[in-house]
Amino acid sequence: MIRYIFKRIVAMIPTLFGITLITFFIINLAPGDPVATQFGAGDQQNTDGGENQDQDRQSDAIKAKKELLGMLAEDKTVFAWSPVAAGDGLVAMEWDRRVGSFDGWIHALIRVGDTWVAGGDEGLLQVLENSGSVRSTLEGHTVGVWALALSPDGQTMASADIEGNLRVWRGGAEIGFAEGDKKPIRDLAFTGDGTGILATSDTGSIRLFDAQTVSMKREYIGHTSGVYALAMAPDGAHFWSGGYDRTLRYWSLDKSQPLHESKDHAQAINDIAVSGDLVATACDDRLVRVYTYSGGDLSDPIELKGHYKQVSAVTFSADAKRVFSGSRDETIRVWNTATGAAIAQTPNKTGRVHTLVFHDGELYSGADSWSEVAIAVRYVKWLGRLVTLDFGRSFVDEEPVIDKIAKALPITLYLNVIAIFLIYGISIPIGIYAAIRRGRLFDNVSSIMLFILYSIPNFWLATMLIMMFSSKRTMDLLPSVGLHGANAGNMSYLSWLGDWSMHLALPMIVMVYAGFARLSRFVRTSMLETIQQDYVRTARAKGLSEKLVMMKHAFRNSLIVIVTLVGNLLPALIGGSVIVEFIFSINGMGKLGFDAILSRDYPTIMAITTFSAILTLCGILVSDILYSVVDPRVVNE
Amino acid sequence: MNGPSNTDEMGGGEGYWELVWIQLKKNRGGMTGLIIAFLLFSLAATAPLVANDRPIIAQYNGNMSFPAFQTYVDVWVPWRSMRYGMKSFKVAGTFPMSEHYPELEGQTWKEVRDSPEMGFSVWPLVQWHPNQFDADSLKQEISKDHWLGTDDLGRDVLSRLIHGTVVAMLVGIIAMSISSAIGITLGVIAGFFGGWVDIFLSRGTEVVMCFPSFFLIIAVIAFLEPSIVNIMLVLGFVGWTRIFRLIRGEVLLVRNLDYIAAARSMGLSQTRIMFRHVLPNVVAPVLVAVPFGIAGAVLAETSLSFLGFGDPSVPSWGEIVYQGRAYVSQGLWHLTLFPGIAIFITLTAFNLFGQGLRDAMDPKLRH
Repeated sequence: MIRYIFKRIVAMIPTLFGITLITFFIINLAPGDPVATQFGAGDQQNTDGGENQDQDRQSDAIKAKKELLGMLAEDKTVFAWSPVAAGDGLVAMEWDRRVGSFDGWIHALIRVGDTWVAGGDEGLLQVLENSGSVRSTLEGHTVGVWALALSPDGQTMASADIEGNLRVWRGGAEIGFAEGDKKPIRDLAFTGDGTGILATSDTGSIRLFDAQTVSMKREYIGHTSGVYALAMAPDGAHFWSGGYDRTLRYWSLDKSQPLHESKDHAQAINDIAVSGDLVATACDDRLVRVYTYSGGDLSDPIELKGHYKQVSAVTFSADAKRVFSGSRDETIRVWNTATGAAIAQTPNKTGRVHTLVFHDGELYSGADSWSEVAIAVRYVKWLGRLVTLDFGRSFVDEEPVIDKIAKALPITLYLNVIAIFLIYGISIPIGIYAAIRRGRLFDNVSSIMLFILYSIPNFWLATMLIMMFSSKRTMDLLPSVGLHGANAGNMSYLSWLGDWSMHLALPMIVMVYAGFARLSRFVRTSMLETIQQDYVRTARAKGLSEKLVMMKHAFRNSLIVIVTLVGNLLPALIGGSVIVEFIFSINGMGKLGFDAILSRDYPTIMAITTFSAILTLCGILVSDILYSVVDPRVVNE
Repeated sequence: MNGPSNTDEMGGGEGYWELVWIQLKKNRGGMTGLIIAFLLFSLAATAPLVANDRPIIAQYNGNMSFPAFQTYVDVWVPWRSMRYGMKSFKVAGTFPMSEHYPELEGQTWKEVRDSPEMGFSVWPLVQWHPNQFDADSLKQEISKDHWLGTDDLGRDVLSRLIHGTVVAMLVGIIAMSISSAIGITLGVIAGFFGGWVDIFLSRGTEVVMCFPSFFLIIAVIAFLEPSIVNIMLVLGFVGWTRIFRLIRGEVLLVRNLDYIAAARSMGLSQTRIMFRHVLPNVVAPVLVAVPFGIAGAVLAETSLSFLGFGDPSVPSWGEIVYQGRAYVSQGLWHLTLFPGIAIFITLTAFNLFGQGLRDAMDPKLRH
């Protein structure tokens, strides 16, 4: 018996596989872009340097949706770019190689000795060879690392994460730790003598830590909101800072107040680069500004215009003749420092740049780029997640689909279970009685009645019932919306039960009548067939009472055919629940699926289709098992 | 009685079908179904002549024309682009496909009905076009003008019901033809070749059967643009599994019979044996499935239209119920009741006929 069930389950696996295949490809190859449908526009690339921020935001949102669908994949990589020189002007940025790939965004990258150290949303620090292979990982941080700094002697490294934890490393081992305040440290810098570490804070202060003891020595107050960027001046005793309050400030290490302040920026400052007397800033207002500072006022920066989205990183070449800037517009651009002219840029879709480092004639970028995922790959991934019952997140409200199903399925299931019990409970006696009284009045009348019921379309019956029983114009007897009244939460148990059964009455009639008509006829036919069998005649000949003959000999054997119907009834009820739940506003699987179809919520549609198919298979399995119980011969076949 | 396999020997298969016909004639329900189905088809075929806003024959300014016939293009050509193409095509004189009758000078046929230029004319029974908006009689109940009332746009419900027959019959026949063609072809191939082909096709069928088909249909229809043709195609492509199983079972029984072996020994090709020798002897059970299939397709189409996935330019019964649903509280009961009765009659007729046919073809019930 168990072997038989097992065999049946194994036989279902290819079927299930086929179902997933068809579901996935029908939904994904359906005409029309689901994302465009949601946003009412296509994925427009704004490359004309336009000013429309809404469009930027929209294209970001489209990307996020596409990633949710698995149509796009993020590629978080450190790339190396070779500036190609021709004559004295630089003409192109050429992609050189990939230095490393990560699971989270890369926010910080520094050169330590002959290796790269990268930190990002993954939380651990990766030590990379120049070739890109991972030499080791430094474990300690548990959340995203957004800042890294190297001491001037190149021996000590500091790292900080988004919970404000500061760790100091030397020779691959952690030598100091300062507990954070749960707010991110966005940038770090070592002082010129290597004894102190400057750290930003989202509260607006800049803190100086002792490099040995990792304890706070000093606080620099001036910024009114979060500080995003820090850079040491070449003399090692002064530093620059900028942040969300749109100011660039110049500080001396031993004064708590800023020496100079610039208010040129229209948006937050994301990064600062310093080389000699040149200071470059990357700003959310899409500009890169280059200041020449010689002790006087900070004024008249050269504005480098070109990026059409927020600039997130900036750095100088070794000779400071060029500025490199990376932006969320997915390009890296190269500028002439003296004239501010754009020299070159990387191809579009380089990826959103988070950090830039210039080293040894090459530019290194930590970026996340997007790439289209082939449909076959998406299918395999989807299938893989399906095994763990992970149906992804809804396209509409980003709620996990499995949660939605978990809410809707019990409602549909209990409605169906009640319906099946009602169908069997009513139609078996009617069918038996009609068979016994074959050709008499009861048989004829019930046959005609059931035939009429069988041909009534359920949506029409439902609408007629609502019109008759829950319209103010006729009889306002039964509610027609939902399963519970408005104040069902405050009712006593009995009145709750009454309210519930009132709500249930109309949907139940609609769910039951067709199955009821079909099953009664089925029971009648199968009873008629068994009544004609020899063993029934034998039982009668033995002199058994008619009741005993019918119940024990005829009905029991006709059950064999009846139980097989259970399996067929289950999927039909779930398919039919779309209409019933739509009409009566019941939040079950059918309504969920219907709404998902209307809003093109692909993950939900795919999940429901697969789920219903699985339920159907379960129904078939159940009827097979029941069949083998009533007729043990099948197991041995 | 050997059933269908005797057809070849008996010349043209008259013997078998004659027997079935005799049996069917005895079955009162089956005959009723058949007659109603026939009437429905006739109504569909003549819908533009039964309900229309223009005369069937009109003599205007001494010229004879047949205005109602042009509506055939609107009604019986489900492809929108083909419809437009045909309407721009003008057959000289007698059968103008185009909407324009230059001699009417911008007036409608109804307006010129009593004018002196109008000579002899024959008008349809119901003098409303199914898509004609009548701003003067919105949401009217049963009246002398509109025998079954009007909907929210003032369209005559009776005329829409009559033209809805066309939609129902078209959907039923085309969807059923598609699924029969697929089911028969695949079924014959699976049964005849057996082995891996059979396993592959049977498994594929199992997959399609396990699908929540109505849900799948809604999904596909929702993604395509609303069109009655799409509904027909999708219903056809989803509904073939039952026919496949029937045919496959029959082929498995037939393929080892002597006459197939004889055909093989004559060196006939596989294709010829499949389609000339096996197929004619296994199609009988499909005939039983056809009426049920048509009923199923009609039910599915009306359900889809009821859910709002129908083509708004086509008068479908389901769509009228869908409109009626919005006005249930306003007491527009005629919008719900009458199309429902039409659907019910159609389903009953085809189910009755199918049942009668099944009984007639069942050798066990034959005396």
